[in-house]
Amino acid sequence: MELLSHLALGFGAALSLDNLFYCFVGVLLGTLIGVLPGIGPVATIAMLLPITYQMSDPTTALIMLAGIYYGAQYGGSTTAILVNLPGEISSVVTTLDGYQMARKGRPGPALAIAAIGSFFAGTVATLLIAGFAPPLAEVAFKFGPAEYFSLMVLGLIAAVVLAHGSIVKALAMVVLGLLIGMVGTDVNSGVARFSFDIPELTDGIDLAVVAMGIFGFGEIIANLEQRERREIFANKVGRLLPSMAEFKASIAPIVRGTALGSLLGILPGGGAVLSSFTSYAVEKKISKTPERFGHGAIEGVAGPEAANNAGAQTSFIPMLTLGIPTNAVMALMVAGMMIHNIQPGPQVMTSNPTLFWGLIASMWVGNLMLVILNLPLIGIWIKLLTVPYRVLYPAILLFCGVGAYSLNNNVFDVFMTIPFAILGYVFRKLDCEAAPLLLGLVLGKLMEEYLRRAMTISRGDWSVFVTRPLSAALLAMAVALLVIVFLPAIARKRSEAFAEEES
Amino acid sequence: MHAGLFRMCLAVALAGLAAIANAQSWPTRTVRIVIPYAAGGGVDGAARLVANHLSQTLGQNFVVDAKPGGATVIGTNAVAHAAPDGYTLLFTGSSTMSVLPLVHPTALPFDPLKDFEPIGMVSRMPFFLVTSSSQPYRGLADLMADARAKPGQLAFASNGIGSMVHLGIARLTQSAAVDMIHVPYPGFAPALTDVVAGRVAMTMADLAPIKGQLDAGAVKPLAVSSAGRSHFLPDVPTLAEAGYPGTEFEIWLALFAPAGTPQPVIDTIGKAMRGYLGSPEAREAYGRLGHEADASDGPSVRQRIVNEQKAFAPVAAAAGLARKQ
Repeated sequence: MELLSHLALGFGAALSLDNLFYCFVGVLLGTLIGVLPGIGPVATIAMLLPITYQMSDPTTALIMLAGIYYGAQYGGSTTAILVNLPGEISSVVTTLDGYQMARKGRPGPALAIAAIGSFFAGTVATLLIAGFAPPLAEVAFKFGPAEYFSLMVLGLIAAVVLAHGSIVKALAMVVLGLLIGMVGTDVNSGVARFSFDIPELTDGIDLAVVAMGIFGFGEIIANLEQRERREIFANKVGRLLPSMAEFKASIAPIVRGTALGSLLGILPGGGAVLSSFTSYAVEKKISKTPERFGHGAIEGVAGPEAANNAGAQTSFIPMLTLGIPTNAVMALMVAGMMIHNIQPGPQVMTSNPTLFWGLIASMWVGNLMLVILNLPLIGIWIKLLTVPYRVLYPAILLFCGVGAYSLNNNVFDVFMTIPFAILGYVFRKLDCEAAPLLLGLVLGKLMEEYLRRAMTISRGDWSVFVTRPLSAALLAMAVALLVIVFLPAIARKRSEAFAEEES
Repeated sequence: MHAGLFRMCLAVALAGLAAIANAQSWPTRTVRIVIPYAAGGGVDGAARLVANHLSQTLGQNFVVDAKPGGATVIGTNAVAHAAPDGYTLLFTGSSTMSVLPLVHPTALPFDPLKDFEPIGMVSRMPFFLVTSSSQPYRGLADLMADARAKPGQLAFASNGIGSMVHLGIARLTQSAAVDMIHVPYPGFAPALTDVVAGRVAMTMADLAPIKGQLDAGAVKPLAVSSAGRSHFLPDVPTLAEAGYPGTEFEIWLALFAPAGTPQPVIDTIGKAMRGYLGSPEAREAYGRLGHEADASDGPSVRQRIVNEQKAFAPVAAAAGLARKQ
């Protein structure tokens, strides 16, 4: 079969000493920056891009850069679980249950399942890319603005499901996220909203800044308020590997998360982030015991971690097959390829097969390296918990500060974390969750952009959302999800009413 | 009286010497070339080529410093207010200098002509008008005829409201007297996706974003925006040849210094740059980015800015973008 010969070519390239070495460097670096809060793959790849210009073989350069990207997804879950600080935006959801597991003395199983789930997702995604890249890429073309809007609506409904506290509070947080997303220049009208004539605000408030402020700094302020709590963890660390029961419970979520992430990662714009949120929502809805979520349910770690890794890898597909970058990291890769005189596009598969298949094969090799790196390192990561907090939190502050600066080489972004830090502290006091806020922030801006673009192209015709089959299907799913969410409440009211009648 | 006057003259002469000495010893440390665009993009690549050459020729490190944001306002403003000592330079182009003053909603904190001294042009990018290969048009005239037949139904994509592409296509549609809807996108990549899928009829972009799709046959070029045909795609007619004279435009990138930078410094950099940009290796290196290396000098850049501002002011006004002063 042709696929086997392609893969043979790929592994031949990927397993060369040079490429193996740079793959290792890439995933190691990626894990490191994933673990460090604040500093992300975009900044790192942008910094390392000039070095790759000097490399004679573009395949090697791309292997290293790709390793940084999906390595960061592995590393991001580590801090999410151990210190409630998502190293990557897509690890936000992992904090919900992963950190609770750590508080209950089970950080080891959480980290292990995150690594294993990520490896499984990475393997499956690599196979998908190898076997189905061109048809999968076509899916990206089927998604026009109307379909994206409907997908975002579905995602927003999922945000409500994310709530494990009061639904009203979750809705309020989503709306607040939508409002924060309003800041910036509107693509469709060119009007700068809420920018108060500050040029930095015309680009909007970066998601990373909000996440760092609310999750990072807000958490630190809240923790400093209760000094004794940190010490408890060190004594309660239990086993390092998951129990058989936990392992069995994770299998289905990992498979589901992989499927979700593989699909959503292909779509440009927030695909990988959306997949982890959606996976959490799906797991919570499908679970027979949803009340465990938010208090240390292993499914809440397994599903999203698999989803964000699958999403990260499948986001390579549109770039490799069509030359269309789906996020900032892919755009940098495109730049890297062009410097080496390789045109990313549909013909890369045929004109540079070694590059194409070598990159794909190295993704699997990289995933293998990552799981080998991360599983034994769990014991070391857990030692982080024993570090006295008065040493840990300045380090977190430092890395977040550097990370915020690295977004745009501008101190303004560092200052912007301050109001969100205060907000994060207030939220903690009021028992409001920040995850729906982040989702609202991501989706709100995108929803408006796609809605108005769909309307512009259809010249004001609203029926375009239901006449296009894909869009109609997504909207129907959203409505169904809404009904499922509120049905128990309705049913309860009805049974209450009947009970009153009878008595 | 004599002694005082003599001393004053001596002091002035020595001060003049100091200025010359400064210029002669420049550069003594790293020079920053600020680009108001994100790192890793096409502008970054173009800037690095110049920076590398200047580092080799002038003996000091020339580093590219990315300061993106605010539609290039942040980075440009930073250089406008930097010390004019020759250690901070600006690398940007027509979008900032010619178009931004016309379309920016509020007054810019800098004046492109007063606050900067152009050192020299670096590269130009012709823009190709492309449509999906699935569309039946065989040439630009076909597309325009279709647009004339269906007013307000065909759409063109741009990479942002008030961008050069927006104004360029607006001028074309005004000149051809057709009514097309403008759909702004946050960049070339999403715009191209919708063009390839046929949801939007056409867009214009430089070679880099479209080359992949061109090679695969997903899009076909109908015209090129420069005055003469581009050697990248020599079979593509210019806008004038396609029947729309007077609508040509090009995006260009140039190196600027803050106003007040000593002239000897500017001359040194300009000479070094022009030496490189005229060479065949520069032509090839820039060609890989989809740019045409261009060795025009500072005054011609200044003239170009003036001409473009004059040419596009009515287009911006007609598109409803002109700022209400």
